[in-house]
Amino acid sequence: MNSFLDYVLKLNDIDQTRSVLDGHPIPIEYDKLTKAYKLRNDIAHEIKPVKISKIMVIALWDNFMNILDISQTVLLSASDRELRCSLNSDYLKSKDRARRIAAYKFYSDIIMSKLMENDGMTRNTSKYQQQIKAVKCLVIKI
Amino acid sequence: MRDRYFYWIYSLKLVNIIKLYIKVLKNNKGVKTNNKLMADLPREPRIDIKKNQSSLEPFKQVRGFYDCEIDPLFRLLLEDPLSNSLMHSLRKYLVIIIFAALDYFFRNAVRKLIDDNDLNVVPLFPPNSQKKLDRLVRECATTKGNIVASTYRFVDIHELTLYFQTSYK
Repeated sequence: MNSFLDYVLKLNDIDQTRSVLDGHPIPIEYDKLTKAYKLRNDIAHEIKPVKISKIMVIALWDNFMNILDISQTVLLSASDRELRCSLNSDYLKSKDRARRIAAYKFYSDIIMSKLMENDGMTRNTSKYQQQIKAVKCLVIKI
Repeated sequence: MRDRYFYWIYSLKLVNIIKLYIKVLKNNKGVKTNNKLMADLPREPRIDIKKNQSSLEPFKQVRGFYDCEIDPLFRLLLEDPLSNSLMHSLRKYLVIIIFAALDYFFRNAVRKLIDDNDLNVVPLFPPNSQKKLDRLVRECATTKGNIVASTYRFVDIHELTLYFQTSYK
């Protein structure tokens, strides 16, 4: 296990709407959690005047409930081999999906810039063919 | 001439600062972290009486707590019938209680996990802590899970991650 939180996060990404009846998906956002932790320290230890929005508190609670639910399953899997296998396979699936999404994001800009270069070029020129080849290579890489 | 003199003074100061930085890095080489609060990790094993009471079903307890106490507060927050200052205090309280519930859940779940599966906790403490661990277990009539629950602060998300990273290595 690389990082417990990463494991929980990836398992949550498999189905972000599992606890939602009629609403948007709930991702676990690490940044929001760390920000909220700092806020909690400012309130509890420093008595600093802090700005907290209603949305922020609700997001924190959603994050917490997700972490709680998944962590409970992960901790139960310590003594249940079948559950552990199923969680590991879900984790790998989610990890692969995250990798693919990142690759699409990374290559989409390059592909767009290549396509923009074609602007005003006729399809028969060799330069155009070369650029189309380069774009195809990028797509295959993804 | 004067400029050169100041240049030498500043370069000497810079060298000293770099030396000091290297010294600090060497002292903290045990745990790689960018969190100031975690600079003292790995910590010596200890027993905290306040954290010694265990819960057998932390998940159920936290869910129950949510239904009884947090859910009504969230309803109040969404309905917006309170004054601004009261609403602000309510938000502050919710932030603190959410982290308190997180701490409670993980402290008890980890304690249960360690004790039920007899996990090796030695990597969580500084080298040569085995003797101290055994002594604490014997003298305080406690368990390894209790010692870990007392030593680590599960309210800190970084520390929680570090705990799982170390114990599942």
